[in-house]
This record gives sequence, structure tokens and C-alpha cells, in this order.
Amino acid sequence: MALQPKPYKRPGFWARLASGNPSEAQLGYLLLVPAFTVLALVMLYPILNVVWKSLHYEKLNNPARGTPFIGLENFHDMAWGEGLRWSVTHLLVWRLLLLGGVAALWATVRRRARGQAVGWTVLLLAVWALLGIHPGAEGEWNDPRFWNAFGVSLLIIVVSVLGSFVVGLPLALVADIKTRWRWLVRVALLLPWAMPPVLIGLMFAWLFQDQYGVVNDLLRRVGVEGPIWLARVVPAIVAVNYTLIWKTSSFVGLVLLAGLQSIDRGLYEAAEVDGASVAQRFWQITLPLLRPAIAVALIFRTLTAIQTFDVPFAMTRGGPGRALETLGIYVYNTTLTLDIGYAAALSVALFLLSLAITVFYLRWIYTE
Amino acid sequence: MTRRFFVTLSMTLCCTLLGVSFAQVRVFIGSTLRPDVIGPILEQFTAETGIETEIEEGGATTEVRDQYLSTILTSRSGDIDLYLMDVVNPPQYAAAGWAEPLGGYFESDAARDEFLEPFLDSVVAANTVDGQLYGIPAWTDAQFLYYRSDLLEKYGFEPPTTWAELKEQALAITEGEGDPNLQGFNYQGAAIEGTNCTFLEALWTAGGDWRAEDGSVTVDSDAGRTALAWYDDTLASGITKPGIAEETTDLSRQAFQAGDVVFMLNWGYAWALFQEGQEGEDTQVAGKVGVAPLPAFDGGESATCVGGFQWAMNPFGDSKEEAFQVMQYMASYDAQKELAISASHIPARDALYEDEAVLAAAPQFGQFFDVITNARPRPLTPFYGEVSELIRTNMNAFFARAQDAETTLAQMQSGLEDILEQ
Repeated sequence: MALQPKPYKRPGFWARLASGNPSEAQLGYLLLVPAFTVLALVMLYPILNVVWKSLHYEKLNNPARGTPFIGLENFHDMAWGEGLRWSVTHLLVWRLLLLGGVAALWATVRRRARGQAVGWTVLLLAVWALLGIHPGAEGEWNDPRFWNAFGVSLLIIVVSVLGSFVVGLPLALVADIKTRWRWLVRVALLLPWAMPPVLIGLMFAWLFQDQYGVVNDLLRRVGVEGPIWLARVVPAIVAVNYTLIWKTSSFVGLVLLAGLQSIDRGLYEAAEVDGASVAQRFWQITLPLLRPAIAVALIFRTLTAIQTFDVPFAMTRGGPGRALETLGIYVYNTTLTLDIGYAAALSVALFLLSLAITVFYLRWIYTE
Repeated sequence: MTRRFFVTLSMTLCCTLLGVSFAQVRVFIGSTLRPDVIGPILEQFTAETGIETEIEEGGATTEVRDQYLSTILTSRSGDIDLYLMDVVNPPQYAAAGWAEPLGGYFESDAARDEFLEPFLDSVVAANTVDGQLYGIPAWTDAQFLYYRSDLLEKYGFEPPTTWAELKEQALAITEGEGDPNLQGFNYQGAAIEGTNCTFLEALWTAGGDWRAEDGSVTVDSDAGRTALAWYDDTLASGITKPGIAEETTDLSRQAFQAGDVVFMLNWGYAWALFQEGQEGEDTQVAGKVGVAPLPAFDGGESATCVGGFQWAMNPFGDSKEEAFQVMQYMASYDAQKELAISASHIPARDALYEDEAVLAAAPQFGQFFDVITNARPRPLTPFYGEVSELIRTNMNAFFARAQDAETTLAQMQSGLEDILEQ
């Protein structure tokens, strides 16, 4: 019997791995294992655990009731209410703005992008419809504190993100000017970003202190009696947002500075030769070419703004009353009253809000 | 040098790996609870028993400490062995399994009862939850009305017995002195534990209570309205500074100690600091301070909040027997005497109210034995964390002028009903 040559068989996945001669793809996966394990332990597991807990009743100081599975009850207690109704007029101004946005979208959209515009319209109209839900005169939210925290977080997002952008852009432009003192400008730009937020919170709490604080002292020198910053609602909101902008505009400045440096100087020289003014150069060259950097800065700012905790907590502990209780602070406070299940549900809400905004931004970037 | 280093290193590693720990008791103490006085007592304990102790200082207010302890104890960490538990916490900590039941550490029930016999009944009761002992009294406390005796004398006033009198005197003195830094009446209005007492004391002295005998919540009542109308008046009349919503217990104490306050509500610990100051902190009011029971409204009776601290054991600690020895030592007559004299921590033992050395250092203890023993507890419930958060946040919003008295009372009423319903 003649010896038949064995037909060549490609070694299997595990055989090849075991032979100590893995393919390139295998090696790639192999090298990913440690990173993935660590991420799974410190990210995936906690997230899943929080989601799991949010579906349970768990109150450490009520062990008698145990930790039964209660489905979506926590979310019902959090976001729903009694006697809810829908009306066209609720939050009228905001919702008109939203409709205005839809109209603007369709007025400017190009023919090719119409399919996408339909998607956006559906999304915006859904938000418009959701905003019409409110408790009637007799009804009430199950947890008005959640909606308060939600509103506070949104306000901080809008004010501090826009504010840091408005301040950060000029900072970046200044830092980009070639002078002998550029290093100093850049250090100054870096400093607020590098400082720990709690330290900044405590520092500004002292600056805004009504009797010994620097802010009121300066105001007094020009003959104005400053408010009791941190013990009155509106001044506290102003002070905290001011601090947030002070801290975060340097981050925006740094990102935009990197963007500015990638712009080809030749463009400016050419524009100058063509007789373009400084303003024209800014609007026609700088701003359009800066768009990717702006997008990146906005995304990161918004994501951190949603989770704002440290600065308002260090300055007012979410007060006065609950005027600055962001979602993050609300989660923290709830955990400390030992209501773990409900705190987990709040965290999930915070997570979903972050996720929604991220998806929104990512779509925006990819369509650009 | 190198060799010694490696020997030490390997020994440390071996001990860690084998789970051998040197008997060391780690004690967590709030930074305002006078660790500087407690430290030497613990050193004395070490000298007598050979058991090492170490103090970990933390949080200046009760809720900051509560937050820290929550973190440690929820994660079942054994980083601390003993901690000082606020009087409001035993029901909550017992329910959550955060305080070791101490019954088993005594030889018998009779031995336990004999040990507890010399302590004030109210304090022992506060440490007992469902018949089980969860803490050993460290000291008790009550809020008092501190006043500047020199200023009252100068204007010919006796300490006020009604809130209306207090207002009158405060106005007369601040106007007479003409010092823009001098506040008439200072109390706690920040979103802190002490602010619950600010509210409850006014409610009680108006003849009300947070709960009626039948268990229904009675915050939104005539007494509640009287109480908040008074605080409205303190702000409107200017005897209290407009920024009272930022005032914590120790900021109040510091302002008074600097000589900037005529009347103040505060706890027992302030007395010793007013007389002697502490490191890095002078006192401007030594010998110029008087203490009185809280004023009441016309027709009401004086009342105050019970406070104080208990030694509690971390159930997740690993030197429990040693920790129990520390607890017993800290609760001994001599230790409490030292705390009473050097820190004006109000003793939890009856006999110390007649001890001459104690009375020489803090004469008011003898005089106010009744005030101290009749001080009233804050709501006793495993859900005290929520109760406290609700009251202090609403009162803070009220003091920050963010919501009026009616809204504040209505919110506290419905919030308390929800919490107690569960």
C-alpha cells in the first residue's frame, strides 16, 4: 500500500495558537486580551452592575424589604408623574425654537442630503412632542427633584459649553500670536486646565465669599454692593457657571490652538496679498478650517458638562436649596441616603443622556 | 542599611501575606471633635495596655463624616476599627449593619447593665436599637444660647427668655455698638445637619413637634409657621446677617470667637474654645461668654436638640477585641472627665456633673444638668438620612430666600410623609 501524502490542512485557530506561531490577526487579538480584561473589569462590569441594580429595590437602611426585582419601577418613580397631560403650549418658546430649527434645516438642506434631513426632522419632532408632556394643574411629577436636576444639568451644559467656547477661542488666537511672551501665555492657558476641579471650586468659593471675598471687595471699590453670591439662587448659578467657564475655556483654548497651528500659513499670506482684511481672513480662513477642532472641543466639553459634579459641589454642595443640584450631585446625594437602587436608576438616566448626546455629535461629525 | 531595608520589607510582606496584623486600632474622629484632646488619652491607653492606636482625622461637619463613613462601611472596608457616631445615626447604622452589636463583648447581660449603669439613661437609650447596644456613649451634647456677657452687662440686660426679648436686646446692642461687623444673632443655616436643629428648636419652643402622638407629621402647622416667621424676622430686622444660608456650626463658632456675634446657637464644644482658643486660633471672648437655655416663644417652653457622639465599632474591622478595650477606656470616668475639662464635651456620666474639677472648668454643666438631660432627640428612624436631607435642604433654600415659609413647610410636610410611609 503506497503511502498517500496527507493533504495539507490549515491548522485550526486553537492549534495554530498553541503551536506558538500565531497569525498576525491572532496576535492582534492576543495582545488585546489584557486591555480588554482590564476594561471589562473596570468599565463593563460596573456599568452592567449599575443597570442590574437599577431594576431592583435596594435600600441599605431598609434590609427588611430585601432587594427584590422591581422591573422599571425606579424609572417610573423617577421620570413619570401623576395626572400627566400633553399640550401644545407647554414650554412654548423652547418648542417654537425647535420647530424653527427644523424649518432652518429644510431651508438650507442640499438635495443630496434630504434623506438624512428626514431622520433629523423625525428626531427633532419627537423631542418637540416629548416636551409637551407635563403634569396638569392637579397632577405632579413622581420626582420633581429629578426634573430639577435634569434642568440644572442642561442649563450648565448650555451656559458653560457656550461660555467656554466664547472665551476659549480668543484665548487660542492670542496664544497663537508669535511674541517673546508666547510661552507665558501658553502656561497661563494651561494652568486652569491642569488644576484639580475641587481645588478650583474651593478657591472660587472664597473669591465669591460675600464678606471677605475678592469679588465683592472689587465691587465695593467701584461703589457697588455685591450680592451674597453663594447663598442666593441666581448669583450662585452665575458664580458657579463663571467658575466652570474659567476652568474649562483653557481646555477649549488648547484644542483650538492645536487646530490653529495646523492651518497653512501660506493661506493667510495669499489672502493678505489679495487685500483681505483681518476680519475677512478670520471669517473666511480661520473659522472654516477650524471646524474639526471646534467639533472635537465641543464634544468633549459637552460630555464633561453633563457629568458636572465637582465644581458646584465644592462651591455650594448643590445649593442653595437645590438650585445647583446637577444630576451627578443628585446621584451622589441619593447614594448617601443609602437608596442604592434608585441611585443606580439615576445613574442609568445620566448614562443614557450622555449616550444620546454622544450619538448626536458623532452623527454630526460623520456627516460633515 | 540596604540589608535592613530588605529585612524590613520582607517582614512586612510576610505579615501582609499571612494576614498577620499588629494589634493596632484605627480610630476615625471628626476634625472639629477635638482629636487634639482625644489623642493624648489614647496614648495613655497605649502606655497602659500596649495596644497601638492611630487617629484618622476627617470631616468638619456631621454630614461630611457621614459621607465618609458611608463610603468606608458600604464597601465593607476594615481601614478603620472605631469611629465616633453622631447621636442621630444608631438606628440607621444598625439597620444597615454598619455598627457592630456590642452585647456579645460583655461577659453577660448583667455585666453589660452594670457597665451602662453610670451613664445618662437618655444616652444609653439613644444607643439601643431593638434591645441591642450599638454604641458606647462618648459624650452627650445640647445646643445652648451663647451670649456675650460683657455686652449684656454693659446694656443692663439679663439673658433673654423669649425670642422677642432676644431680638430687642440684639438690636439695642448692635445699634449701640455701631460696629458693622457685629452680628446680633447667629445660627446654622447651611445645608448641614445642625440646620435641622435650627428648625426643630424653633418648632419645639413654639409648642409644636415634627410628629403628633398618633404618628402623623405636623410640620405644616401653626407652630411651624411661628418658627419660620421668627427666622424671617431675624433676617428682615437685620439681627442676622443675610448670608446665614452659608453658616455651618464651626463657622458660627469662629465668628463668635472672633468677637463678632452677640447671641449664637451652638453646641457644648464651643465653650472650651472660647475660653482657651486652640493652636493657631486666638479667642477674643475669653471670660466674656455666658450660656443660657434657648429662649422660647410667648407661652412656649425652652427646648433644645440632643447631640453628642458614641464610640461605635466597624463590623468589618479586624481588631475587634482590642477596639472594644479602647471603647471601654474612652468611656471610663477619667477619660470622660478629661474630655469634659479640656474639650468641654458634655459628660455622658451622671457623676461628672458633680465633679469639682469639671465644674471649675465648665460651671454651666452643673447649672444646666436639666437642660442637658431633657434635650429632645431628632427624628429616630432608620431613614434619618433622608429626613435630614429633606429638612436641611428646604431650610437652606428658605434661608437663601429661594422659597417662602409656606412652600418650605408644605414641602417638608409632604416629603416627611413620603419618607415615613415606606
